[in-house]
Amino acid sequence: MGPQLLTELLDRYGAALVLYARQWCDCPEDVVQTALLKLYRLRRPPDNLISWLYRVVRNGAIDAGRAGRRRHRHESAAAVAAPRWFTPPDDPTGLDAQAAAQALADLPTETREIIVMHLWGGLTFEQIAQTVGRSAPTCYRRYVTGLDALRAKLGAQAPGKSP
Amino acid sequence: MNRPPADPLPPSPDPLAVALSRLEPAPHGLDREVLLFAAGRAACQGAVTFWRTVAALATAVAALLATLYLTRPTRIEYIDRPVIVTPSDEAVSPP
Repeated sequence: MGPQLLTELLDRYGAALVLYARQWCDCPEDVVQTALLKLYRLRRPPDNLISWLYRVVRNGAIDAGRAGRRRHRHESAAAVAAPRWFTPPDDPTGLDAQAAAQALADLPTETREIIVMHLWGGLTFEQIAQTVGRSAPTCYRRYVTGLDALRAKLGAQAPGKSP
Repeated sequence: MNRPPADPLPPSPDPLAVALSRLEPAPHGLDREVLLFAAGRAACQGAVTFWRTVAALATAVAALLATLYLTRPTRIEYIDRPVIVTPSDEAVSPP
């Protein structure tokens, strides 16, 4: 694997991976960099590169989150209370980024990570299943449940219903 | 049974999912140059470790050989040297 592919991966998946790692820890950039370096050191790239990358980031972020909570409990709690996960949209009629982040933060972790991987990482449910170690239908059900919970929090219309 | 769609977004996607996916994740704070530097360092780490090991082994062998050389037991060797006696030496008779 060459530096060209490394920078391509960073450009294409960097922001989504950092957002994904942010679900567990307050040093997501370090976790993503470590995962990319681990990938770079492999003699042969893994078969499903994106799933592998998300899995390594997930494990690293969970470990970093545990270590971080041991160091400073109050700081991580404050970070979760006011997440800055998205850039404000250019379109003022779009979804409120801060409200969406807060609604996402209130979801259970196992639901939130599936939504993040699917919507911002672009992973299929098969890839998500490989990453989290569950079946694809289970991941899909959690995704739908999570969307319903977000809909209730954000006051959005259910699909197929006219306003 | 609900089958998960193969595509990231299903054919008739949930409007909320579409609206959420339009939100841009906050830019990552990763520095490309720092990442490439770290990658280069990581790539040559194996070679550095190899040559460090080789150098350490060579030093250890050299030290072992030097120790063996300096502490070798002294050994006395007796060598028989033939002495050739010429007849003129024997012919000397007392007066």
